[in-house]
Amino acid sequence: MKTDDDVLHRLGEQVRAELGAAPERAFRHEGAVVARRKPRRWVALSAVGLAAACLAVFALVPRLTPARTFWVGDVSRPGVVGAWVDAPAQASLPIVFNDGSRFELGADTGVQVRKASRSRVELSLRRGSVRASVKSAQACVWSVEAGPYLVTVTGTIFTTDWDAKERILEVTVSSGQVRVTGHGLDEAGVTLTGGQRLRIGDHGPMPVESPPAEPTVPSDAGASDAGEPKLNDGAPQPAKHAGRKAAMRSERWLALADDGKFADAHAAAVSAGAYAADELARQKPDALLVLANLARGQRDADHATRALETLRQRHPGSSAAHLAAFLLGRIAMDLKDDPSLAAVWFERYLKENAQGSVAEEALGRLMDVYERSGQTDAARRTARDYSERYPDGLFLERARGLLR
Amino acid sequence: MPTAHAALDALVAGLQARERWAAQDLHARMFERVRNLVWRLLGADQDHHDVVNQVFLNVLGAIGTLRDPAALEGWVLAITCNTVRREIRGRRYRRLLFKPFAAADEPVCEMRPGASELLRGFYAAAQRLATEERLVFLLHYVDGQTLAEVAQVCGCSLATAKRRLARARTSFMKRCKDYPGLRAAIGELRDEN
Repeated sequence: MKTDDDVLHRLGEQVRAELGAAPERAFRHEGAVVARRKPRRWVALSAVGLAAACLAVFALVPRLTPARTFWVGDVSRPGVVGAWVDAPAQASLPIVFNDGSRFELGADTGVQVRKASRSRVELSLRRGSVRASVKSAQACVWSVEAGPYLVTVTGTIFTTDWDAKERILEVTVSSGQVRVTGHGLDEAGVTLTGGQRLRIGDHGPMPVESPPAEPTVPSDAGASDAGEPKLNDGAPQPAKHAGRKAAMRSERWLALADDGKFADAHAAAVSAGAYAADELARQKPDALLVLANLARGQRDADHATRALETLRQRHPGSSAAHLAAFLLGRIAMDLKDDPSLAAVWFERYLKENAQGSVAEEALGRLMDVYERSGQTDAARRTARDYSERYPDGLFLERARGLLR
Repeated sequence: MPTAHAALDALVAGLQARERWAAQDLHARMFERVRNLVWRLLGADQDHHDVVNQVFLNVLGAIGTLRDPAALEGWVLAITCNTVRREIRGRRYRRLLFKPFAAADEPVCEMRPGASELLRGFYAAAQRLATEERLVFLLHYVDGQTLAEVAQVCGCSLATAKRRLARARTSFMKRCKDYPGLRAAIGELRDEN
């Protein structure tokens, strides 16, 4: 099968041949060249049109986009666009907008409100954590920039945590939807919906997964519907979506996993029969991913495969199911030493989710497994595709090595 | 017998001194390359010769900024690319001002009458690419330049050139479906052994 690149090279040759060499003299037809020589009336018309457009813009812009007002910490302290706001070392600090949207800065967080118009609000997070509750995401674009990443809000409640020292961004969405773009992510970025978390650093994104329970997520942080800002003291508020999390936490293995005791969590899951077919069948996609990752971490390929295959069978088409295809490829490659099977899974992941959060890694590893399974042509083709799609990618050196 | 390098030094010095012989020499050396490059970037365009002349005017106007005479050829090609870029953008603005009610994606084909369906379709589809992507695409696939050469001519990094080419390729393959002659040619190339 020829790639688009191959086809376009051949097409370019055809076009070049058909086009031939440029003529020595101008061809003329239907006054084409004459028209070019006519006095350029369009210049004068353009100038008039441009002047009128400028006048219209200057007249209309102030009416269309009045500045959005906001307060820092207290209604008596109006916020200033461009000024840095630093939360105290031991307490949180709210920034409240006049539509009721609220950004709760964690302790020792530094933020700049770079723009605050009716249509766009831009915050720059220098360090620390911001929990946002956005009220008018339909009418206004809200975004938080953190290092090389941009979190664009298309929904309501989320938390952005930027570790400036380690250069790690963590975004947790409690409800609504946000899109994260920037370093290491493709142009479309990663879209997170309620209950999802993304953690990403210089080495790329970790799989999108369910966040640990967040007892401090506010149910309706912010102001009244009347648009008047209502400030609180920053104290923790009851969790709105705690029910499902609490049910999951009743599983001991999940609690151990949340505590970072992965070996214990895996042992507990095995002993509790969590990998039995009927138990797997009742689990939600995020829990199945946790079970699979626990098993992968202990090099338990059978249980990991079982959890992921259940996920793909019971939740086809979900983002977790796409991710499961990638993880099955990793298991085949790392734990089963079966590059042919790994290639099948990576191909499937890329077919289902070519712009997914781990698409770059999937393509890079596909190139690797092709080579390991002796499919040199496919490896080189994939290397070429990789180097064109990810010119700054982690596997670029490997791709170049294959293309030499 | 002067070496090629010394000859280039003398040529650039002559151009900077506004010597007539130097302008003629530059024209003799570069005319064919420049006109063919413009031809491939804009297609069989009615304003081809105006654009080529503009390239040489721009070269002579900016010759004082050329520091390395050995880089003359690449520098002239970069100016050619800049001139074509300005021409494409100028056309877009003029179209925007004077054809505001035309369909947004209506191809405005500048090809001469009699050009084949393939050529018309190819350049009409290329016209719908973003300017930078269009240039990278045509330099690589039609002019046959390597990506490193494309990056140099366009004045961007190799990584940027690759990104632009990847985007251009995707957009072009999507848009080629609107042009039957082009679509048929691509189908045949895919089926070719």
